[in-house]
Amino acid sequence: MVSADHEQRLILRVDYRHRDQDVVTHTLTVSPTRAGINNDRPIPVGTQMEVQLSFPQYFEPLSLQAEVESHVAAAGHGLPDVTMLRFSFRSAEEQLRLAALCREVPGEARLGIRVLLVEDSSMIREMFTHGAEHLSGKGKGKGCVEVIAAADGESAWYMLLDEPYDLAIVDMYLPAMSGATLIEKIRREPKLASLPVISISVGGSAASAAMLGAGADLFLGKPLVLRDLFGTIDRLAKVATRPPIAVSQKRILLVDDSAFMLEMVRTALADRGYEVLTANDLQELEQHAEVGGWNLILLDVQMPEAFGDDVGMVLRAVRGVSAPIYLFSSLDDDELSRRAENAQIDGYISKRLGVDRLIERVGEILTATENQ
Amino acid sequence: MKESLRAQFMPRFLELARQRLERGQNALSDEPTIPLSQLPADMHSLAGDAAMLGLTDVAAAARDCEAMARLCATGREHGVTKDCVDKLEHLIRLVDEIAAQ
Repeated sequence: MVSADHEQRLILRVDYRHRDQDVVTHTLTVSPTRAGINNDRPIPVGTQMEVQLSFPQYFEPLSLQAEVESHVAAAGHGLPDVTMLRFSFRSAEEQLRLAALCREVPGEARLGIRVLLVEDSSMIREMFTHGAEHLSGKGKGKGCVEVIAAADGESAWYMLLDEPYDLAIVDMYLPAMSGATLIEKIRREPKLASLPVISISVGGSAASAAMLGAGADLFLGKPLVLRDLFGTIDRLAKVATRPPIAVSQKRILLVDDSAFMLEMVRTALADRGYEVLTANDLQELEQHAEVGGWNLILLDVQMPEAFGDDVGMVLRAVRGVSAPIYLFSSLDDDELSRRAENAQIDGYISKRLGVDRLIERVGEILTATENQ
Repeated sequence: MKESLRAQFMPRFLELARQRLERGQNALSDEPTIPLSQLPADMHSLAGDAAMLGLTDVAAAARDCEAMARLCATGREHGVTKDCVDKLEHLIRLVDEIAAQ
């Protein structure tokens, strides 16, 4: 197929209704006025229909009027036939949204996207890793796509619970736990229910129905055109109408000389969706402080090298840290209050009240900060 | 607190608690090899860990022991040391009960 000007090889989910059936497929190319969709259904040329274009979390659904313009035979073995749709727009906003997606966006992606790939073939895992590094912009600056791989559903499940991801790509045929079962588990878990999931398989329309039925947002048949997939993710990272999950996460820095406390609190907060980095001593704190971007800093008080309130004072008064800084200790409330006030930081959270109260207080503090 | 979280961290808590309590017994013994000044710090850490895990009895006992240990550390008056030993033994019993569950 010859690409027209401004026609981008982008993969978006396409929803439409045909002969009283809901159909889900995806685009292969997108331009400001047209899209080529992967299609194994014969839709007569000239058919008028309403289609919805979307990409979960990154491109909010855009409903458009479309007319079937033509059918194009597959460009090569293993590639699908393509149905070309021409769009008509009911508003300038619709047109602008699509045009913005098709426009080349110079420069680096605004942020990184963490992708969990669940695929039992080591060769395909390597293809994805290579694709992420060389096709999406990683290595050209701030980078875009980081691919972390799991070889089976069970490993993937625990990885999803343990660390935040922006997108999951799940093969259908996996050892022990099938891709469909993994996706069903993801959708049942409140913390993961809104995670965008792309399913992949050699299985054709039956596999597509199974994976979409399990809760996948998009189904792509193998062999994949990796360049198109990573190009799409790269483009969406630059023009996303909704920030990826990882960007909207709150980042918490936790400083404590107890490795046990650090791990326990990190696990409890990460379980609630927070990104938590830990510092076991001042050297680690210095390294994290250089990175910055914290939404909340929690400081233990009694540490070998310095008291936490003194550290807080330096962060606030000398380093100019504007994020909320709270002491986190099992000292009594009067002493914590006095220390926080003397250090001119924001307050304290008592370890005496336990993990549940810590999580509540963290939520209260971050909500209050957001609403300022 | 989520049971899964408690289950995940309880073994390590018990291991650390026993280490701290053993150091405390050593520090309060007639021939200590560990300085008495270590005891308040260990009890403070134990109280913090226990509180976070929701072990309120252990946390309260550890704080009592910490307070007594600070007095002990200022001078080895027999009466204060005896009280400290009693509190430490009470704490050991509490930890043993938890480990047995």
